[in-house]
Amino acid sequence: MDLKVNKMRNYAVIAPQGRLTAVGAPTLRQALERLLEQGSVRIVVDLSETAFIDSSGLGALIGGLKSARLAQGDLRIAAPTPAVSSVLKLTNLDKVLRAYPTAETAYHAS
Amino acid sequence: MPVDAQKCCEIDGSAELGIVEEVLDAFDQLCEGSGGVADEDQMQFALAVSEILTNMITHGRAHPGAAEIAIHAKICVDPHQLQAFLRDTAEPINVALDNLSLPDDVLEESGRGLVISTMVLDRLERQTDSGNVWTLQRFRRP
Repeated sequence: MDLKVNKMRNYAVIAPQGRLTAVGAPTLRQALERLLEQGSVRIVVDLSETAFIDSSGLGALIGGLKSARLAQGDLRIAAPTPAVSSVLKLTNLDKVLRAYPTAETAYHAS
Repeated sequence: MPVDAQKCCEIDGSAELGIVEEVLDAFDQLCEGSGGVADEDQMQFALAVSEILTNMITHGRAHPGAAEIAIHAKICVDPHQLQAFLRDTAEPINVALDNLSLPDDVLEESGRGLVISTMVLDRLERQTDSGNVWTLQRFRRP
């Protein structure tokens, strides 16, 4: 899994590319923690190039969400692929990780 | 694919997380070469394989004196079903597969792997001999 991080003016975008499994989940967790330590508490995880996710990847997203909220911020997801959407729905996590159409709209929509 | 055709792939390696990616790559190639495996069948079966393999690797303990745990994965596709046979050389472990449910706290970070597997599979069995053998089966949806 590769990871792209982009800091925008009001939020940061982190984009896992490939499979988000136990192999890549620790990398995502570390990247999310690093953003929070740097003060970027409004985070979008762009899932448009995440081909696959399992429970380890879900755990990293949930961990990031909880840490962001503790820091008075938020973690939102954008553009999940059909494979990712189906796992979120299967596990009822689509209720707490509501998907925005694009990374750009994740914070501008509210 | 002819009605009686079955295609399989096999991967051997040590119980490290990298083998999960190897097995998923091999399964993707197997599906490409088997023609017409529906995206949903492929994705959901890959999900179960990833969950069970990760579980085996993260929870497996080597027999006393053994240097490492070995993994053997065999996945087969035929016109009716997808099957995986995942074997390790770890100490046999007891895992309850009945009455599994998603965590009560939706923000729990772990505890979903086996539940997800039972949700996407038609059969999940674990047997023990000198190690652990998991059998995963999903009938292909029409």
